Amino acid sequence: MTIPEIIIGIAFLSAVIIGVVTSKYLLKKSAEADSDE
Amino acid sequence: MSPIIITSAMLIIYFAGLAYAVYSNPLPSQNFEEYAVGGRSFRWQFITMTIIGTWYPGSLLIGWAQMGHDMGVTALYLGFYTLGGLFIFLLMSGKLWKLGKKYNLKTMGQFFQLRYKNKPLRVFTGAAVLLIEFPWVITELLAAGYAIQAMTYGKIPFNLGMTLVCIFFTLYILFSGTRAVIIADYYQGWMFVIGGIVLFVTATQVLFGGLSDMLMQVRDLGAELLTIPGPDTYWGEAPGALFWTSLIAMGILGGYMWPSLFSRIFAAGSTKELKSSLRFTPFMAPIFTILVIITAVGSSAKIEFGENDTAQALVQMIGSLGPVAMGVITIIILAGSLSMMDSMISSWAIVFSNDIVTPFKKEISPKTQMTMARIITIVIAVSGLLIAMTDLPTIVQILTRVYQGIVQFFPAVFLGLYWKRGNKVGAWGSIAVGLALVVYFAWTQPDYVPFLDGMQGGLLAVGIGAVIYFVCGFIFKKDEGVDRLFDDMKTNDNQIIREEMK
Repeated sequence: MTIPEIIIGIAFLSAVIIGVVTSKYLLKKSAEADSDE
Repeated sequence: MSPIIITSAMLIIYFAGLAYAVYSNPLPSQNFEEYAVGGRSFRWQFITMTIIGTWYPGSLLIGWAQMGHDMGVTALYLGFYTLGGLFIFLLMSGKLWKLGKKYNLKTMGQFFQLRYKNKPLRVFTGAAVLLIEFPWVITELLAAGYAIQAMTYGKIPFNLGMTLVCIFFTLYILFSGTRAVIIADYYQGWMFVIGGIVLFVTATQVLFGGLSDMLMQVRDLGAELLTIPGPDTYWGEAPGALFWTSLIAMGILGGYMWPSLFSRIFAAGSTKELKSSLRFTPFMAPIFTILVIITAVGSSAKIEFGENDTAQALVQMIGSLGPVAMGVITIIILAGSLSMMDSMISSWAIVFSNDIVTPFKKEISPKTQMTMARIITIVIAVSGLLIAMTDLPTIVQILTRVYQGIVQFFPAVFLGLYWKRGNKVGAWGSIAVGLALVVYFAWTQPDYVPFLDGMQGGLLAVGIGAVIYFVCGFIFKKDEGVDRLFDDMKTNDNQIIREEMK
């Protein structure tokens, strides 16, 4: 595997992880805000 | 390791992440309000990614990339209209959201019934917008078919790939609704932001030695690829000097008239969330589209890319870096197609049950409404697939033609939000005359009109429609209750929420 491929692969995995983690965090925060109201 | 194993493993990782993001959160009980507008509860980060997702359809990397390869920077019109469309979004979304919250609106047809006090206009609009937006599904299926063929290195043929994707997408949409669609858009948005930027920047660097070197190689082939039309570049024809400007204007006016985007405005938690979503989108959405198109223009510099079919030039160019790059670009295409198709089909299902059936049958339970929405999803998916398998014009040609239809709703929506004197006669007149002219031009000169110096017939039609709307506004009286609606649009969110709670 070449260096550009490794860079692209890291970007891919980062996008997946950030997408999952931040969506969970934001939905949790929204749910908390809703229950406070 | 075989390249197909790598690309398939990446696809599995991607969709596993998507499934986890959507289904690991407790979904509220499924009622039609929840299915249609996600409970009107989403924060600006979600709305931002939703907007980015809509400007990043799968067809961007196939259809517009083909235009970039064949016609050079002409395809950059997409970046300009993306930006202009966001300005229109800014001007109308706050007003629409307030009316939506107060009067429980979900669709453009419902807005028309409220604003113009005319039920037939709601039904006509519901049916018309469905027919006009339908070809998008076909273009997204075509893009997804190309992606599957590319990522399996031809092992899965185009039509089979398209069918598999269609089945998967339909099952997903059947069991999701707007909440899941918006969460999925958010997740996918990160792939466009991180995966997309890294992929295209790396590709230009590795294959050409950088962006400027790439463009110099394109210039050596022929400066016309780097020249704004100059109207002799539309697939070998010479439309006229107004063609390019007309494409941009149509996109700006029509961009937020699509039912799939219109109903997204109602999914936001407040007008503040809508406005906050515009912190980033005016920078991000055009950057992505321009990056993709410039890279696609670069693909014309090497003869081996797009040798047999120029629609595949960009994918072949990126795929030449190796299987990981091929995996990312095909995932971006599939994600883009899924994000467009899920938002379109779910919003059409809502428009159909809400605007076409509900006005005639009042005693309809939310459960029946949802069943109907699901049946329409299957009908749209199957018919889209069958049409996608026939001989069709290029993806961009299909899309520029349907834009001419949807833009005819602009005067009645936009002017209806800003001008009290606009009335139902003007709304009917502008939409009916505009669509009639578009149908005429669709038969005679669907892509551009030579005697208008290359302008598209749809732009002339919307201009005439706007004049009709104004003239009727001065001739006929205001619609009943319009003053109250304008007062509602001036109130703040909290006041509307308080009234709703009472």
